[in-house]
Amino acid sequence: MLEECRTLLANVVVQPNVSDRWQCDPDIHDGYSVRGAYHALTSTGTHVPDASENLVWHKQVPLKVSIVAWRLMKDRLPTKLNLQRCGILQGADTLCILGCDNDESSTHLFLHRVVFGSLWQHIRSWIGVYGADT
Amino acid sequence: MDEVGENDGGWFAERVLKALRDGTNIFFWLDRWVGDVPLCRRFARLFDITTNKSSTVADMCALGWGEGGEAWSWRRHL
Repeated sequence: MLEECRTLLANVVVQPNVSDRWQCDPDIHDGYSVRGAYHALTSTGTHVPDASENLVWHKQVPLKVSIVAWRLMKDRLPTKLNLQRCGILQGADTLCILGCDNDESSTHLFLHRVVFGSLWQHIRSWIGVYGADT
Repeated sequence: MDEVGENDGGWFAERVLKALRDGTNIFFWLDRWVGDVPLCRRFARLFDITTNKSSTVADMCALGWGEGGEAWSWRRHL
């Protein structure tokens, strides 16, 4: 294993007094560019949108609403639980901002929490959809 | 967490690497600078027992990474 490692290093040339650089695919010479990153993200793999995405990214939905809905579906909203997971909130305070004894997660805020959860009933009656719990 | 794993840096880290010049700003084992993965992953067993885990490429080169070079310093016999 050490032999293999040494072979790998055999052709390495260190240039004194020149600073190391960052390098980024695919723009190996230019470094990072948004264009390069966009190209890298859109050219790899084929993304098949499902039906819910077509609803979220709909021309008649304001962009800011689409983005919140999308972040909710990906569980990327800055709930206390997510902030703690990213290391932004230190300590153990992940409890819901409204003072109940549950963790502040997306599902808690949007579905289970009585204050916001009750909005769904209004929304359903507004668009004329009735669920099992109404 | 979808797409981005905890240990690999995701799409961004996979595309960013260090280009060697003088080697003073590159961690020999931890950065991706030669080959497709950092040496600590490619040669995980060597990394486990090296005493130079946070050495730079310049450090290692100065110590000598050829046969019998002092860059190869292990916690126990190979």
